[in-house]
Amino acid sequence: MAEPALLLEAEGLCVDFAGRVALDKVAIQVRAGEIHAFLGPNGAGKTTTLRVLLDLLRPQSGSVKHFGLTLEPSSSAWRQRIGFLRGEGGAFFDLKAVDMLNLMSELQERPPVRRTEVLQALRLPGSALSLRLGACSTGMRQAFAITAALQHDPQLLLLDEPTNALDPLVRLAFLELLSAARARGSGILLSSHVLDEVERVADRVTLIHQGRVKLCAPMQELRLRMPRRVRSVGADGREHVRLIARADAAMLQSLAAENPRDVLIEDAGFDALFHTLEGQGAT
Amino acid sequence: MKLALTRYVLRRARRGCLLAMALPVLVGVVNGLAYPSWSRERDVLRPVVQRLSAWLRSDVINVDIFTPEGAFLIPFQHPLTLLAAALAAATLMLPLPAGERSRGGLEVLLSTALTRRKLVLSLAAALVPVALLLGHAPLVGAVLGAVCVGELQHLPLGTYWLVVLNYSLLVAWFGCLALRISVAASDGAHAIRIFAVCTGLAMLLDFLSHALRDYEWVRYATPLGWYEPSPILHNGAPNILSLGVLLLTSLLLLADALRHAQSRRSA
Repeated sequence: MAEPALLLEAEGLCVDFAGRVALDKVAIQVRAGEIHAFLGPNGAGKTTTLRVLLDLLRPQSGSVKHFGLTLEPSSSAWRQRIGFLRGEGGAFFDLKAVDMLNLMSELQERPPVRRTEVLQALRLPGSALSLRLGACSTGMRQAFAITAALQHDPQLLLLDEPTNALDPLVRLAFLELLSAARARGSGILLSSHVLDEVERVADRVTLIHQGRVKLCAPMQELRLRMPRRVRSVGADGREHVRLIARADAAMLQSLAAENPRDVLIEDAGFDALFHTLEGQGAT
Repeated sequence: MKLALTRYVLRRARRGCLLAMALPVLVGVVNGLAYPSWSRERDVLRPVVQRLSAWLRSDVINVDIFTPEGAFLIPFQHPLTLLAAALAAATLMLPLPAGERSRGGLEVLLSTALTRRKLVLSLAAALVPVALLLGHAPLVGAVLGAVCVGELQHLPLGTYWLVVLNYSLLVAWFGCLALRISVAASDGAHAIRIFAVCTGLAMLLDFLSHALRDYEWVRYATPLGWYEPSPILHNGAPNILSLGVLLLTSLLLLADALRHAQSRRSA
């Protein structure tokens, strides 16, 4: 079966700010019908990469293609087919929500065909549309920003930490919206540092750390490679913490031999994964 | 050009622009109400005005402020009217793109189908109605003042309208300067500082050109030097060179804003 079309293709992106390397030969691809998670700790280069992909920041070197065509800064054709959600909350707090959505829709040059559906999914009542964004809660503003990004049914979605400030129910509804967009054939680049939401929806994951792509793999592979942190309380009451590659039978046997009073095994998080990958020389 | 953005910018700046328009109108009304008093006392006041004329530009002195046509030209020349041009330009052009650059709104706008070129052109389009409306504000002030004291029939409205044209171009010039600064500045506060320095410098040079007669040519280094209400009233016709200089330099500022917006590394 032929692979789905490439909606976004970036290669060799290098960005530095006054000598500090922000991106070092970053490459990323998003295909139609795929949710591609872009993971990394704060300051890893996720937002910088998204800005480059949208021509909001021009790289020192590297290339970006949207829908198979090299990024043309003066063209609005590729922009019409993209939805972008900025990570740091909404903008235009002086506007009513409905006016902001109308402005975005007019600037996008595409009708807001999915506005009602998204508003309902995010549990935003119709009366909220007449509220001034400045008077809305942070969560509501984020929900309206999501609506602005999704309302024109974009083929490619670039989302920068979209679930910040969303309550758990709305977060779940948002992830369902993403799944529905994927089912319609949209490609989604989901930048996040929240592993559990990525695990729910992502098909593929790119890990970035200190401006470098450390790993690009299917989600299942990332799960297998995620190191675990084992916290055990020994018979003497002292806590021992160790990092292991995986909690396999041999490891559990050796742990049992220590006769611990209590044991907690958890994902060790990104930093540990990045250190592990560094140790393995993964790129 | 995106009219939706132009409308948004106008709506956002409406309070500042209305305040700017209110200044020349207010000056005109107060001036009109005061005119009968100083007209009655012309014999006493004329020597005083002549002594003050050492601080006035030669083209200003050419106007006799004890006649209705000269007196009601004051709203066009008043420092508050000049300040109103700068105020309207700053209110209109500095919040976007400069102000929204630090708040994140600019990136939201430029992630839509809006290109950097369309952004600048949409902002420039917002200047047109503001320049025309604010351009008429001193005329409205002069007319209201004249109506209050029954002098309307003495006003050369056709000639005043030529001054309106000159003033509108001055507003457009300040608007294009503010746009150029806004495109280049790192944030709103940075843009306001640069614009305030440029405006202050222009007004200082204009004042020095009054005070230092030997250096009167200095005023032509600022846009204020090319705004000439008194010669227009004196000659009954606009100075084509002045209008041309203001128009051409406004277009050059706009072209440079476009060039800079498109070549910026970050939005």
